[in-house]
Amino acid sequence: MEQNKVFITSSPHFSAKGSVPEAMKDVIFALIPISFMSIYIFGLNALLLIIVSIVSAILSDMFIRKVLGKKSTIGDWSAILTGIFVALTLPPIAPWWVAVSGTFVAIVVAKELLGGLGYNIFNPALVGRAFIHASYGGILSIWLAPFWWKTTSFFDLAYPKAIGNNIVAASLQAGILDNITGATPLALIKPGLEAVGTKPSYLEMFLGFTRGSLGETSALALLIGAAYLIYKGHINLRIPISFIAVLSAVVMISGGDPLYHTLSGGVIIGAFFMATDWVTSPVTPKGEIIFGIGCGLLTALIRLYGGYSEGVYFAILLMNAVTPLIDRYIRPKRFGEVPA
Amino acid sequence: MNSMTLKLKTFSPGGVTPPHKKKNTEHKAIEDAVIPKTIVLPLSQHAGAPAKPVVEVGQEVKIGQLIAESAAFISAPIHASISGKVVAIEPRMTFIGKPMESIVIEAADEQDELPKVKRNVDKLSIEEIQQIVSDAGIVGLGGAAFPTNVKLTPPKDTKIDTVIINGCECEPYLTCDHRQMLENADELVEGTKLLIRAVNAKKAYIGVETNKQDAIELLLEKTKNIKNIEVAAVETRYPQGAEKQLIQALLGREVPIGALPSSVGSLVQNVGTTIAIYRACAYGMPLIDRVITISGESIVEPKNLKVRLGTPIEDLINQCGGLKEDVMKVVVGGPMTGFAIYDFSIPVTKGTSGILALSKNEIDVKEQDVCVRCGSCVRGCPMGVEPLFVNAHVQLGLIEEAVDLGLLNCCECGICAYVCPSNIPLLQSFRFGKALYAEKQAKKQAKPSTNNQKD
Repeated sequence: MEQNKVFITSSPHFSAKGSVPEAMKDVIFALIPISFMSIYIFGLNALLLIIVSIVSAILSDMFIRKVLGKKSTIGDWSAILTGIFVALTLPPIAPWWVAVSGTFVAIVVAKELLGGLGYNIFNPALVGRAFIHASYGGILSIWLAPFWWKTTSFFDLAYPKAIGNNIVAASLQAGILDNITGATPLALIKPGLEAVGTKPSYLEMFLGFTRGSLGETSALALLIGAAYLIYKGHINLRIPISFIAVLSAVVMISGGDPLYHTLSGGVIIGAFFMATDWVTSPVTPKGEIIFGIGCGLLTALIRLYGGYSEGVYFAILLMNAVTPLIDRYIRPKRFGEVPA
Repeated sequence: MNSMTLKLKTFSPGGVTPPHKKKNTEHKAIEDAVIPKTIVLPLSQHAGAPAKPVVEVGQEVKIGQLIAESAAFISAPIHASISGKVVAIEPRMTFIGKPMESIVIEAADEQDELPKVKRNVDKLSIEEIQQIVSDAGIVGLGGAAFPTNVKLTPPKDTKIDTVIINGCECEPYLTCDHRQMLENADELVEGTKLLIRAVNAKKAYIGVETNKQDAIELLLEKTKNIKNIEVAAVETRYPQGAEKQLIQALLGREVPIGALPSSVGSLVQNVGTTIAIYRACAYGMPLIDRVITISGESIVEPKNLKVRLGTPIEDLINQCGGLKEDVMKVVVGGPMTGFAIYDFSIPVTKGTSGILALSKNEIDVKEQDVCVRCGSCVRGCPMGVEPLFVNAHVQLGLIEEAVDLGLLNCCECGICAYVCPSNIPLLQSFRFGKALYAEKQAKKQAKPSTNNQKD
């Protein structure tokens, strides 16, 4: 009998649906609601930042892979995802070159120079944001009001009105922006350093009609995206719930408002999207819970007693560093293990 | 009685629910396979020592005749599954890819009926049951092919209180056990009673996955007046049919690492094995045939066939209409743990449960990517091993560390490689690692301790 050509491999002989690029695409899809909300709330510059970040991330990825002599990994969609995340951590007034340098650092330094996808210790987008924080501190202190563009036009890019190198001083001097900028919800409650202003209502914070970075505003838009990721099985609730629960507990003990804290700053995007990043979080369920607890605790401590009004990003980066330790000591129970 | 009122049990940790793919054959009654013109019977179709031939080339044999005897305590005899003449005793290719010494028999033109003995099963003593099962060459038909009489003679200090009949058939595509539960239910129930008596147990469970509702209902009907046999519906999850997982699901007992089910007081037997045990005791039938599922998208006519042991696989493929053009793999067994083969002359043996002709579509070929630490393998592993870390150490040749991380606890169920989104061949890596470890151990045994060199 003439035999058909067949292949030989070890078992198993089929596999579950899903791949790394597909998972990345799903996360990008989950970030669409918040991306659209941020453009609607803050105007054209938000769209510009997102597009520039994506393009810059792709170009940085291609550049560094070429320099390192490795084959291109644009096809796995992780660069595009990192680009979007970096954009979402930026304040709406950020000029486009901030997005370029941030994504460059995220991709080249935090991801590729540490070994590439799967080997990076720190969340690349958060490293990019930390770099921006260190380099362009002034940018991160101007917070445009939600729907500020309605006073001028949707196509108004706020930052060009600032002249010279020192954007903060120049723009405030010009009196251009002082009536449309103000303090973030967290700055308004920073213990001992409370800024002047009216606190937003819970509903405003939930919908996103507050000051903050592009991804720090609409809890609703973020939760819709998170629900999609949970439905697809890419993330689970262990890290988000332990993160938010511990943050709330520490806040309550110190006499603060847990709901206000949860809805402000980067908690929702951090807990559901950044802290749940596969590569930089523990692989075991118990490990994930410890990770979430650490993130919540550090966020609370930085916000309440540290130098900054927002602590989510540093908390996650610090816990990223602890992840290998968590994985070393938290092991699943072996089936049939007899207690010694 | 409504079978849905039974509480659903399952195992933990780990597990996965692949699409069960049983539609092609779950409603097809078992057909007799065509008697082959030649059969090839490897001397090792079971765990343990290969059998020793008791026939010579040129000898005429009758169906059911003993042709190879058990060679050790853990071994099993082999019987002729057709009447004919022994034409060769030589190495022949087997499904694991290694040739093995086999007895080749050419069929006689006239086939005989298998001689039947009528016995009163209730009058058999425990020793007689053990002897009959041993003489009949019965081994675990679920796939492990462990000599059954060894299971029926546990060590003196262990006491078995529960028998579990394994009707889970958790591997996708396979429906041979399902069909046997439907078509041979009476023999199955009688076999269960026999097993309870043979090990002095208190009761038996018949564990069946929920995707076989008709079998559950039929067995409930058949056992409604039998106090010590309980039909237990278990959640349809892989690997529910793995012995240790089934014991945990039904009895809540975890078999310790390195120990046997008898150490927690239980005996597990596959549905097909139980029926074979009954037939050996009641009619004196040796093990000469078994039910196999031939399925997959690339076989023209999927079927459940009752096949004589030693039948070449190409005969069965032909009986099922042949392979389609789009076939990519032919697998002996199930898709999670089966063996891909390239030589279709290899024979069906006692452990063969299925033959799958898989198309490229069914296999879902994906390119291998880097490990992104998603944790899917950790969540899926039923043994509590962390596949991603074991794999990393094996790839670096750090075998001792891999063993510490659980390399030897791996039960080779295949879930880790199945769920990996980066398509990393994890199970293949572990098999490689285990082989390296065995090699190292063998070298250590060969060399006596060199500590006393100075003496």
